[in-house]
Amino acid sequence: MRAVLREPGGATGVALIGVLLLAALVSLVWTPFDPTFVDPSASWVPPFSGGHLLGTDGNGQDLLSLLLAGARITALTAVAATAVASVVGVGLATAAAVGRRSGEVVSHLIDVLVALPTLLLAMVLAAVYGGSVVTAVVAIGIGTGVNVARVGRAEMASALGTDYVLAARASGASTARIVRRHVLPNVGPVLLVQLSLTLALAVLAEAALSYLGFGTPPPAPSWGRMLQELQLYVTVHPWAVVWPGLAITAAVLGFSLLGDALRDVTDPRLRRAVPAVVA
Amino acid sequence: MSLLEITDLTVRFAGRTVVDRVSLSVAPGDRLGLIGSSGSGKSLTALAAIGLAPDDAEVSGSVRLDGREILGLPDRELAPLRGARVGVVFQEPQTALDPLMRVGRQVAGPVRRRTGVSRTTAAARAVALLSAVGLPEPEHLARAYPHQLSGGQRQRVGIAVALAGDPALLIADEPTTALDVTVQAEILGLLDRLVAERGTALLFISHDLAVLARVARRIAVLAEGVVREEGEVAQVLREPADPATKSLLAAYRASAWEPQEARQ
Amino acid sequence: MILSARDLERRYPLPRTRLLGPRRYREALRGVSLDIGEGDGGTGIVGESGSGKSTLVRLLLALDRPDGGTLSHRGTPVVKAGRDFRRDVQVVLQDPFASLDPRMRVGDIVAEPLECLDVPGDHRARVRELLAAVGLAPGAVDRHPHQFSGGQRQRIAIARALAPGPRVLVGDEPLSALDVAVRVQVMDLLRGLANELGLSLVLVSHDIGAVARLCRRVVVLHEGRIVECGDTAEVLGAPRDPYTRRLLAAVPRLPAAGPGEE
Repeated sequence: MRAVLREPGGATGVALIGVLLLAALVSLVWTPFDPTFVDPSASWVPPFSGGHLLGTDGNGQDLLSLLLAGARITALTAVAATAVASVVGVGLATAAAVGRRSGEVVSHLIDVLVALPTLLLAMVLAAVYGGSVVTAVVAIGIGTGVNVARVGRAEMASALGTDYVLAARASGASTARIVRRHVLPNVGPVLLVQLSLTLALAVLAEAALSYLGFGTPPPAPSWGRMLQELQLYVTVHPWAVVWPGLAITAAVLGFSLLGDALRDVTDPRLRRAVPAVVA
Repeated sequence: MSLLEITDLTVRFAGRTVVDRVSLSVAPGDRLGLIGSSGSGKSLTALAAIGLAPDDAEVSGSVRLDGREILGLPDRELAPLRGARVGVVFQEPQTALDPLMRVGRQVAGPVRRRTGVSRTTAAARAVALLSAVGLPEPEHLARAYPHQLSGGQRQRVGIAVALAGDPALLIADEPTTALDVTVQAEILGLLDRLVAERGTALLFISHDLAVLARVARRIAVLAEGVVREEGEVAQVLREPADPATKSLLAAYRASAWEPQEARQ
Repeated sequence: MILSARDLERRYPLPRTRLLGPRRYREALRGVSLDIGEGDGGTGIVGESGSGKSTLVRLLLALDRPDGGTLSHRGTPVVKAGRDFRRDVQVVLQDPFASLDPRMRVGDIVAEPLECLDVPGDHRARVRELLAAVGLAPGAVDRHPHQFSGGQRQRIAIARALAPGPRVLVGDEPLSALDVAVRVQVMDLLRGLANELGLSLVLVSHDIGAVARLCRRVVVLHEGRIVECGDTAEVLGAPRDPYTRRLLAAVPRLPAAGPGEE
């Protein structure tokens, strides 16, 4: 972790994520204004005036408060979706790598599912069950989970082919033990990188869903929906739509930077450990 | 006048001095063998001399090729020299061969760069080289990709590539270590013959005393980055002076198999 | 007989070149029969790449199932390797850098067979005992593999293999990845342990020198078949099969020693 913070990208990423989490947590107890409070008299107030740091929207709702509250949905969906993705991903990957005949079937299943567009799945679920955090989490979780499974399967298959796994089998270790003690710990770092990138994707996916109207319904504040509502007025009140856009960008950037830094920290260490030329 | 003159070559890598003021010289047509256990600096010495040391290695000293100082030259100037004057055969043919390029083209490359002939002429010469290194059906094999060949065949291609530029010096870095014993015998015989036919100088690196004795005339024993003993192979093996040489010889005797006839 | 192999056969499917038609196979092993007895002085299996020796190692260790023939353990055919089998037959692999889990501590690595096979007794004491037997300091228990040299890692691998008290120790090119000087040390260690513990060594190697020193019998494998077998000194001194002769002739040797030598 320290090595990640030493990388400039990693530090920036962690900082951005920190701000996101802070915003989400703070909004639980306090926001400058009640985000759902509609005040027609304060419609379209420009930033830095009337106590509204970022201004207000057409309904007089404070943009900063909306942003802080929206962070909740973003953070929640991202974390929950990634949790689902990790369960789905590791589960499918293990099944694909370990089973002998069934492994091949699961492998093909993964390849097919990867082709499934996540957002389309989310929209279908929303259409059937009504848009909500749950449908978003499930859809995004499965959609990104299969990508994690694809990487995970390759890594696990490679770990299962190593000599130390062979030696473990010769020592009488059961398959479960081998996966638990030899494969997962060695595959962990790679999967961690994948999961942090999944977080970035989840944020983006949630924003896209809300933008299209398939995410959390109003009045729960959501950055995606903010974007969609405010963009209609971009010619008249351009500054308003910038805030949710920046927020989404910052969150995605934060998780991506973290993922990249994690990858830099875990990969080259393995490569540099063995000198290229053995004298 | 020596072909390759290495003076006080020092290579520092990861905080350690892996090659410590090594001085060696190879005359035209000479056959020098470098021997040492792993970590002795033998590979690094040869590779650093022609500018192939790892990027984070510090190299100092003097290396003269044909009397011209080449240590520290930028790759731009070194690369043409490497093709034309020095050929390198690596331990793992995979390292030297481009997996995405057909074998014939890889051999033809140095030919074209050296002589500037047309593609067709270069291709024909490549086939001739593949035949010279003992590959069967060279015209067909030229169209193969490296992964379609066996280890021994790949190494023959590696030798062909190294000799394609008609170099004056051939550096072979453990070329047979990754090969089967029977294939090794063939490759060593091949190297011996080719080098003799072309009058190419040979710098042969190995950890195996018997392999070295098969192809080299002179031997330099390296231990911990320092040249401990140097001389004619037969002489050094008969009367080793340095403890490093003696221990190498002792380890060899304790682990190798010598056919009964030799003992009687 | 601890291990008895009869007519082992193993083939691998070749990738399809045509969609329809019969599947073609590559014969990795054919008609291989071998007996490993208690304290039999060591059996060497000599072969080059493509000879099937790696396949044979897996079959002898019951880490793979043969397509034909049987492997018997103390008279009973082996269908699935049970604890008794695993306790009796252990392995040391070729690459000391790959055969030890880089994330585990040495103590846990050596103790693994004790845990998996439910070997009774104090595991920690046994681990200490084993590390001492292979010449490693007791402090090694808490260190990780990357902190050791190739030769030391091979010793760790040997300690792990000896943990359950096997009668047969299969070595799959255990010396090939080691330096010449280290090779001698590990060879001496193996010989010493084999004598002391009455182990039957099965040494799969292309290194004739190692086989000559550690094995009383030798078997020559070529393209999946045994082409010659017998007493090591006899086979090496007067090989009968043309492949064996070619193999022995190819072994590089030092120029003949002068009169003042040795």
